[in-house]
Amino acid sequence: MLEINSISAGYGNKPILRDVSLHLEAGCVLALIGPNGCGKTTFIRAVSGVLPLQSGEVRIQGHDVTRMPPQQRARMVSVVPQARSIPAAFTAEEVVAMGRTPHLNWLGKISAHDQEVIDEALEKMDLLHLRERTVNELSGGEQQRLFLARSLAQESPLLLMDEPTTHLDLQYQVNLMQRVYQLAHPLKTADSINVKPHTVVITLHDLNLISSYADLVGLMVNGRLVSLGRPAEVLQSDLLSQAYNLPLRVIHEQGLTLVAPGDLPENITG
Amino acid sequence: MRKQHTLPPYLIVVVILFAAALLSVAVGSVSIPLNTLGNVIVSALQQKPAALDPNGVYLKIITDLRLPHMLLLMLVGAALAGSGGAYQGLFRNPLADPFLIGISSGAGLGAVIAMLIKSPYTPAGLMRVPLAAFAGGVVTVFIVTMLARVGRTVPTTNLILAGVAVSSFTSALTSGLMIQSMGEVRRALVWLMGGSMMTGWQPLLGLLPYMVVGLGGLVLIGHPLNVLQFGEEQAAQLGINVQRARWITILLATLSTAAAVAFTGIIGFVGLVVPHIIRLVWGSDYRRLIPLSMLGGASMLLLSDVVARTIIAPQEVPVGIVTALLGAPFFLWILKRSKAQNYW
Repeated sequence: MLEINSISAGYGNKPILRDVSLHLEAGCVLALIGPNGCGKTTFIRAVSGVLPLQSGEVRIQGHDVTRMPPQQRARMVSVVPQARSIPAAFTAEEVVAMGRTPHLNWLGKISAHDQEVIDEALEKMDLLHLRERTVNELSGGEQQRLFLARSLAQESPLLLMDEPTTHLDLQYQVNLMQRVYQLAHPLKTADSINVKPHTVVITLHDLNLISSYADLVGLMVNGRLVSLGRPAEVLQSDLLSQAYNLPLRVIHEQGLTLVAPGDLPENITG
Repeated sequence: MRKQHTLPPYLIVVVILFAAALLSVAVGSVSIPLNTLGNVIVSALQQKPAALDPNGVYLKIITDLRLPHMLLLMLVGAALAGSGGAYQGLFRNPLADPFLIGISSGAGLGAVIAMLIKSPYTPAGLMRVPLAAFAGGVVTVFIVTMLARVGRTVPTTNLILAGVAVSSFTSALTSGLMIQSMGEVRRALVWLMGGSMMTGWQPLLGLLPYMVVGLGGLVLIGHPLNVLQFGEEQAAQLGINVQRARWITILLATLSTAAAVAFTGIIGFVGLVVPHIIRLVWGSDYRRLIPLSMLGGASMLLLSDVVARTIIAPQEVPVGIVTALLGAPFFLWILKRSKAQNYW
């Protein structure tokens, strides 16, 4: 579904992202992890087409998206940015309606079908009761759901999320990750038989959410994808310790894979 | 999407505009009482002589002087407020007014250069000045944004500072040019302050083509401006061709401003005050904000002009002075407010 073939990208002559390749099937959540500055955000910007590639190609369902005009590309891939950057004066519904932009003409006239998609996106993210509220009246968690709803309105098969949990407390983090997981693995019910699963690439700092909500993990270091696999395969203490330049241990507990600092407090003080 | 308000905003601004238009036609060196005015208009529409205007003097004043003057002001007010709203959306900056960011002065310089080259007083001749003003305005926008830009944003303070600097520079050039042509100085000076408007129907016809393109275009770009409020990167990810949208907005807004400047001189603050009030009352959906601002801008300029013509009658004050007296305190209020709370 998503084919990324040895892409490099960066600013000026300095490549930040170096020769990254990966292939994803539809209906999977890939968590991208790595220390600050490893190129996670650059990856999101390059795949979404706002940062031109220096080499390589990105294909979604076989189409080369980096060479598409913006409007066509926005039907294939949408980006959920960090909350905080929403113009405060718009209502929740207006924000979600902007997600229809790739399907609208220059005037932005909303059809009955567009309105259905908008309502559905609001409903999926439990925002229907807040549709008339302006953005500055919403909490951080609600704003993040609003961005996700805007992306759903884009109806793109690929969803990119850039550290969506960073400014959220634990309750909202878990709530958001559950929703993300459901988007990639929709429940098979009678009325959702035609719901197509999304493919999600999400950058995360919190390594402990990964084993619960991600199918695959990619570890990036210095702009390279150094490891890609199932959470238990990538979350290895030697790999992570080296990547984060910090002793880390990995704990397997009731099917979860958790990561904690490797030294016990007394070892540090002693 | 605040659907429940869709009708009233237009109704309210149109009623205000209608009242302002009536006032504008009635008030002047010869005042026309409202009942006489009504009688003259109704009779003229029925193509009958008016009972309260047996000699047809009022009718002549209205059709030859007041009506074209009123229409000119309406178009100019609409252009200033509409382009102000568009610049504010483009720069995501509540203080982007064509006057404050120096575009009016740049257009003024272009216009003065064209005026010094004698043009015939015909629609075709009168269209040269706006073209030169347009060129001056476009060059100014690019210099100002280039100076004010930090990375991918244009911070408010930088924009205003760059606007003031460029504006001072172009104004100095304009003054220099005017002094060179002594005979024209007083006329040009008054023109520059938004004073002596050209009279009669000819200027209106010269202005009209620019306004049809400029204002018509601005009304249609509300949706891309809405999406641009998320920043250029998100707008691109939402499918907007950001470069093209920026260019179109700049060209349309600058065309409207330049045409307004070319025909009435530099009138400040209409583009600041009106979109701001509209935004406070009816929100920032640019699909509605821009047309509402145009109607509001037309009203504000008509009313300011009525004040300008009556406050020390029989002498007229340039209308730009009235809008500045109203607008400058408003500007300071917004500046203080936008520092206090980052509502943008």
